[in-house]
Amino acid sequence: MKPLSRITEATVAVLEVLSQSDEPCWGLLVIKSSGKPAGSVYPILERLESAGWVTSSWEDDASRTGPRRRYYELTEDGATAAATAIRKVRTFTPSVAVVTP
Amino acid sequence: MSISRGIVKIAAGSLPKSLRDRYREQWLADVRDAPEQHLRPAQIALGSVAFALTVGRPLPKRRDLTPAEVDQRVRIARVVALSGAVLGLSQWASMFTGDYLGDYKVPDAPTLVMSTFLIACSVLASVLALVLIFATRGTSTRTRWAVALFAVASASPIVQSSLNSDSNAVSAALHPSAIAYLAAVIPVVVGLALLRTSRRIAGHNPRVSIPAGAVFLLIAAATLVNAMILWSLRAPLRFGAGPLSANNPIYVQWLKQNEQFEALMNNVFIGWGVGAIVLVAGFILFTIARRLSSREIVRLAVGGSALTFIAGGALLGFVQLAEPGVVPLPEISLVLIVGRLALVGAILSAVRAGAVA
Repeated sequence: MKPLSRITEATVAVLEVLSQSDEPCWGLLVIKSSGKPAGSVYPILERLESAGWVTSSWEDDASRTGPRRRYYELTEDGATAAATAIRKVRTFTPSVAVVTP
Repeated sequence: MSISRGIVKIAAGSLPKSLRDRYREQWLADVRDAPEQHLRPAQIALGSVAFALTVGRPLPKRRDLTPAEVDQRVRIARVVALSGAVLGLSQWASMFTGDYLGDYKVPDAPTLVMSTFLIACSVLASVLALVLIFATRGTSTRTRWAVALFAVASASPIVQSSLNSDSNAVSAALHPSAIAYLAAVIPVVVGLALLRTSRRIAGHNPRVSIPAGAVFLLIAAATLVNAMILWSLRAPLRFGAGPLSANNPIYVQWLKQNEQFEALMNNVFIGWGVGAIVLVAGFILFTIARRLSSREIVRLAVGGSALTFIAGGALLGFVQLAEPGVVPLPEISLVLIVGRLALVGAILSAVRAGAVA
């Protein structure tokens, strides 16, 4: 697994969504849950996958016809690195959810 | 939704082959299912475009140019640069014909100066045309023929000007040379723009493409606006200062004659605008997909802008030829000169790059 050259607020938001999911997460759901635009989320997922933080796979739902959905999940090393990255960034820039009572 | 589907297909098609099929299917599924997540398909489409513009691309496999190939391209670049200089001088010469000076009642002393300048331009252009033909030694047969054709064609306005013919005749003689010039120069400029080595590919920066494309579009738009100001009967700024003034009977008469061409001109303007947008979009996609270096992107933008100037000027000139008894406007000549000089600058830059490649 390779370290990321930069970890932005949007990257952390994507990592948080993936960390909080117990099963592979649909790409579209990452966009919705992170609240970040698709133009940010798709490149971030690609970078995470290239760096080995994330793996992706096609859906396995025979009942749905047409193009398949793509699901993402953190690798074992990726999950550890993501937790560290989230903690580091959130320490300096606490999210709204943390400071709101 | 079909528009979004079309956009993601185009965006996926521009991706490197290793990513293309995967993202096409993924984005099509996301577009289809976006409403289910209360997202708009257009968001996914925009996301796919942003991805395509920023994705890291593998370095294309290219062989380095051999010294002989570099030498030949440098020769061609010199030929084209000389061609630009010849045509630029021809244009200068054709601006100062007897009728043009006569229409604006220029006194004798400036006429003498201009005549001297005209002769100097003629001599210099003729010398350059000869040098040009010699400079084609070592290039392909096709290039030599193209340059010879250009040299002959570009000499015609010089000859006409030297004989002090009326302006329309000079203008009529100029445009075949412009066509020959374009026919000879475009493939060579494209070839020069593609001149690159592995060393310079390493300088690829996709962020340069979009601002360079914006400048390119701005120049194309300025060319179009200039044409519309001069030609469109609906342009609010069509009456300006100097020759474009409402007090200039020649210009007023010219506009009146233009009325019969209004529908044609409107279509020309629309086609011109659409063509410029397609050209700039193609420029951006090309520079990103081919991983051109920043320097190459800028050079291509300059060359493309110059060609836009030339094409615009040539188009105006052709329309102008359809107008009986009309004196060529200096603005048109200026557009042609700026475009050609910019082109020469771009080509000289390519010569320099080729020499060190």
